[in-house]
Amino acid sequence: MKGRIKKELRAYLKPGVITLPTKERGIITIPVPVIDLPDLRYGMNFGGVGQGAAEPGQDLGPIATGQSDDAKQAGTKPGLDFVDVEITNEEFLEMLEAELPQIQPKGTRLIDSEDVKYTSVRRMGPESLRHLKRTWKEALKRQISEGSYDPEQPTIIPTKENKRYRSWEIIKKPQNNAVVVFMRDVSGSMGPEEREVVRYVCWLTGLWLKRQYNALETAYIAHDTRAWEVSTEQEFLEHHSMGGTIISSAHEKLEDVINRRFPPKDWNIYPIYFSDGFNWGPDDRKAIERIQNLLPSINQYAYGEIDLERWWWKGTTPGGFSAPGKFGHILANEFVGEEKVVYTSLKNTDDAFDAFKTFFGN
Amino acid sequence: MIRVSGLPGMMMNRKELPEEIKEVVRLIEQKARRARLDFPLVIFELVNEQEMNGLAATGGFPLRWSHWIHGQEFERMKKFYRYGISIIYEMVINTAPAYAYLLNSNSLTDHKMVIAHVYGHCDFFKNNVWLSHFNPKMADEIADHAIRVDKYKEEKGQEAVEKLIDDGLSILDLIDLHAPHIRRERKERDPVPKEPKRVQIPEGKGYLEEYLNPVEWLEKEREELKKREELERAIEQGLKIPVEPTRDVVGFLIQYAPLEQWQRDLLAILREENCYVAPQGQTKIMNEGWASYWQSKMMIELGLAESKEIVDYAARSAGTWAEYPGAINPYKLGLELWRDIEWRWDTGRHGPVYENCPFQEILENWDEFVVLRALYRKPLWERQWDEWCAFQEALSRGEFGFSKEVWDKKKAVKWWCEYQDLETILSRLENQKSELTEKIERAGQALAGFEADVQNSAWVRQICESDLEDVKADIAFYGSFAAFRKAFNEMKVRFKRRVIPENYLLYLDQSKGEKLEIGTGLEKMFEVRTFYNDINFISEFFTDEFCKRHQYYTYAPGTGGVPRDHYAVVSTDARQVRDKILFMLTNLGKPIIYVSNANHQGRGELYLDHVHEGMDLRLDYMKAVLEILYRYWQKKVHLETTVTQEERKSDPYEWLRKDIVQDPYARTEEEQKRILKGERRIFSYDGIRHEERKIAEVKVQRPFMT
Repeated sequence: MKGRIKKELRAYLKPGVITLPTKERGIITIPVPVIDLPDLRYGMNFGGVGQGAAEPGQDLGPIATGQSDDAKQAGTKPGLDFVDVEITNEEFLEMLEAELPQIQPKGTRLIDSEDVKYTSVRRMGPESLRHLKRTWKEALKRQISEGSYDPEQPTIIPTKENKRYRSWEIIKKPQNNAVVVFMRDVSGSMGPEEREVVRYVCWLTGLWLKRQYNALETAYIAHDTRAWEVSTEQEFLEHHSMGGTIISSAHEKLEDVINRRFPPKDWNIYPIYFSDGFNWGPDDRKAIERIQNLLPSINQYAYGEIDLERWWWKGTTPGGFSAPGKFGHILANEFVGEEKVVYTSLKNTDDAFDAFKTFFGN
Repeated sequence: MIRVSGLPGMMMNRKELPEEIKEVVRLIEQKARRARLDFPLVIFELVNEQEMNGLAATGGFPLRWSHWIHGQEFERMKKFYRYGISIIYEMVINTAPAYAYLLNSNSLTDHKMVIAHVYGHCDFFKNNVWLSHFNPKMADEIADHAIRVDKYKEEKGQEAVEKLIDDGLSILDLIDLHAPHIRRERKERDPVPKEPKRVQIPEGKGYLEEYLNPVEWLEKEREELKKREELERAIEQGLKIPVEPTRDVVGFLIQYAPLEQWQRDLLAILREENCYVAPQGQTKIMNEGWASYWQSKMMIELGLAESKEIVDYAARSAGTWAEYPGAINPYKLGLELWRDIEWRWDTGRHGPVYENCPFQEILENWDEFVVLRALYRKPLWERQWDEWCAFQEALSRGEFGFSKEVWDKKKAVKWWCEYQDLETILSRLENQKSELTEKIERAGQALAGFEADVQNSAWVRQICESDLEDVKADIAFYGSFAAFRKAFNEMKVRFKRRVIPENYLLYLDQSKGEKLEIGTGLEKMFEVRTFYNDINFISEFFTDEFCKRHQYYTYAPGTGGVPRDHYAVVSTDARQVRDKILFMLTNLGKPIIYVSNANHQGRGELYLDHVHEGMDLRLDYMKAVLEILYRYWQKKVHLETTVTQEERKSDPYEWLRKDIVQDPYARTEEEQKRILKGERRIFSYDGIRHEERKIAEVKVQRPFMT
C-alpha cells in the first residue's frame, strides 16, 4: 500500500483528504481508494433479494455507495470504497523527496540534519544489504575449516550462517544555517480562494521544514502597497487588507529583514513569494530590479503565482502564466536560465504539491 | 491448550485460554455431542482485534503469502471495526483439527455464542459431502505456499511476483467448481482404428423414401458427419486442445501456457487455495444457517438468549456481506430454512399427501389431520384420538408440570410423536442419569483419594454434573407427559372431544396409498446437512409458502416511477425470488467461462466462451481480463459473449436495454418479457489493441425480471 501511496502521492495530497498528524501520534492518515482488481463479472447492477412487507414498484430508497461524496451520482458509478492507510510522519516526509536547494555551509550556529551511514556488519538483515565480500570471506573460512574447499575448483557456497549484512548508524551531521522567508500579497485582489491555495502550500512547506530541519528559522512578510513583518504563520495566513499592490515594497522589506537579522554570510536564505500577479504597473521594473539585487545574497528565490481559473482569462503564455502583463510573466521573461529563480503558477489547491516540488524537489 | 505438533505455529505467541473460557468450551462441546453433532477436535484461540483483523484478511490462515491485497483487506477490516460497521463475529478454519478464533474484547456471553456457533460449523464441515474433498492439513499447505512465494520473491524480485499474483487474482474465479468431485481417468489412445461413423438412414419402402429421407436432411447429416470426423481426427492427432471445453481456465493455463516454472507454481498455489475456499462458498447459506440453528438451540438450553437476538447478532456479523447490493444474509435465510425444514418434516407438511390436498379445511388443521392419519384404523385408534385432543389442550393450558411458556403450537405434533414413544425416552434418560451419577461418584472418589490426575477428574466431574442437570431437566419435561398419561388413563382429564369431519375420512381414503411420516424433522435435517449444497437446498426448500410467510421479494434499480438511483421492489412472486437467489448462487455469482480452443484458427490463439445466462459481462473489466490472459498466453486471446445491452458512452456503468422481443412461443406475458434480443460478439486482444466482431444475432432469456 505504501508503494502505491508514494506513486500517487499527488492525488492524495489534496486538502481535506489527508488527516493532519497530531502531535501525540505523529501518524498521517491517508484514505486510499480500494483497488478493485478487474475480473469477469456481470456488468449490470441487477439488485437482489430482500425481506419484509413490500409491494411491487415500491421505492426502497437510494442505492448506497461506499462514500457519501459520491452519493449524488449514486447508482451510476460503482461504489468507491476507501481504506485509511496510516503512515508515520517520517515515512510521509521521505516520500516527499525534497531538500533545500543549493545550500552552503554558512554561519556558526549550525542546524542539524540526520544522515545514515553504513558502518558496521551484522549477521541478520535484508538481502538487499548483503555484504558480498564479507559473506564470501566467511564462507571461505568455513569451507577451509571443513576441508570442503578445493583450490582446483574454487567454488564457494555461502550458507545462511555465513551471510553478513551491512548495518547502519544514524549520524547527526552539522548542517547549515537556513532561513525561509514567506512573503505574500494580502491586497484586495487576493480573495479567499487565493488565500486557501497559499495556505496549503505554506502548510505543506512548513510541515516538511519542521520535520526535516530541526533548527531552521522562518520569517513572514505581508504586503499591499507597503510591507510589514508578521511574527506567526497564523497571522501571515489570515491577514487581509483592501489596498492596492506594490510588489517592490515586500522585497524592500525582505532586504531590510535580511540585513538586520540574517546576514547573507551567515545564512542560507530562501524567500518564497506568493501573489496573484496583479501589480501596480509602474512598479514592475522596480520589483524586478530589487530581486536582481537580492539574488547574490540569497540561495533561491521562489515565486508562486496564484492563477485561479477565471472566466475572463483565456489562453496561456509560455511561462505557464495565464495573462501577459502579470508579474509572473515579467519575472519569467527576465530570469530565463537563472538557476536561483524558480516560479510556478497555481491553478488550484491540487497544484500545491507540484509547487512544493518545484521549490524544493531534489 | 494442546499444541498439535507439525502445525506451523498458528499464532506466534499463543497464550493459554483463560480457565473460564476453557470451562465454557468443555460445556458446550458436551452439549453439542449430546445433540448428536459430529465434529473433529476444535482448538480455540483468543486473539485481539488487531490479530483478528489480520486473520480475517488472510482468510483465517496466519501464515499466508504476503501481498498488498491482504494489507488492503486488513485496513478495510480495521475501518469497519472502528466504525462499528462489522464485528468479525466468528472465524473457524476447516482443517482437522479445526481452528477457531475468539475475540478477547468480547464478553463471556459472546464467547458462548461464538463457541456454540463454531461447533455447528465444524459438524457441517466434517459431514457435508460437498466439503468432503478438503485437505485436512490446509493450514500447513498454506504456510508452505507462503514460504514458496517468499522464495520466488527473493529470486525473481518483489515486483515480478506481485504483478503475477495481481494478474492471477483477476482470473482466479475461472476454475471449475466441480473439479474436486470429478475423478478423471487419463484415456490411453486406442491403437485399434475405430469403425468409421455412418449416417443412420431409416429404411423406407419405395414411395416413402423421399419423405423419410429428404435430400436436405441427408445433406445436413453428411455435413455433420464430416465435421465430427474432422474433430475426431484432430483429437486423435492431439491437435484439439482441450478435447472438451473446460471451465478450469486457470488449470488450463498452468498446463499449457508458455510459463516459467515459478510462474506455473505461483498460479498453482493460487488455484489450489481457491479450490479449497470455493466449496465453502457453495454451502454458505446452509452452513451459516446450520451453525445459527444449533447456536440458538444451545443458547436457549443454556438459558442465555432468545433466538431473535441470535439472528440480529449474526446479521451484524454479516455486515461485510450486506455491503454489496444483491447480497443475501446467509445467516438469516439459512436459519429460517432449517427451521422450516424441521417443522415441515415434523408435521408431515411435504410430499404428495400435503401438496395435492384439495380440502381447505384439512390444510388449515393439518396437524390434527396427520395425527389422525397416523392413528387411523389401528387398534384403539378412537381412544387415541381422544388422547391427542386432550394432550394438546392440556399442554396449551400448561398443566401437569408442563411450562406454558414452552408451549409452541408448531411443535405439538413433534411432542405427540415423542409422547407415543415416552417409555423408551424415559428409560434412556434414566439410564443416562444413573451412568452419570456413577461417573460423578467415581470422579469424586478419585479427587478425594488424590489418585488420578486431579485436574482431569475435576473436569470429568464438572462435565458430568452439567450433563446430569440437562438429563434431569429432560426427565422433568417428559415427566409432565407421563403425568398426563397417568391422569388420562384414570379419566381425570377434562377435554373437548373433537368430532372427525367427513372430509378427513374422505381424504384419508383417497390418500391411502401414499406414505407419510411425522416427527422426522431432525432426521431430515441431518440428511439434508449431509447431501445438499446451497443450490439444491434453495431450489428444494425455498417453497412458495416459505417465501410468502417470510416475505421475501426481489429488487432492482428503479424503473418507471422510481428513479434510476433508487432500488425498487420488482416482485414478490416466489418463483421470481427463487430464480434470483439461484442465479446469484450459480457459479458463486460469477459468469461461466469455458476454454473451448487453444489453437484457434490454427495459430495457437486462445478462445474462450462465455455461457450467457441472460446477464452481460462488464465490458471494461472483461477487456482488462483479456489483457491479463494475453500476458499469460502470449498470443492473441478471444472471448465470445453475448451483448444484450449497450453501454452508455457518457457513463459506462449505466446500461441501456435493447428492445424486448415478442416471443411467439411464450406462454405468459411475463415469460414474453423475459426474452431479450442480443448479439453474439467476439472480443479479441492481440497485445496491442482490442477488437470486437459481431458474429450472430441471438435471443436470450433473462434469468429473472429486473
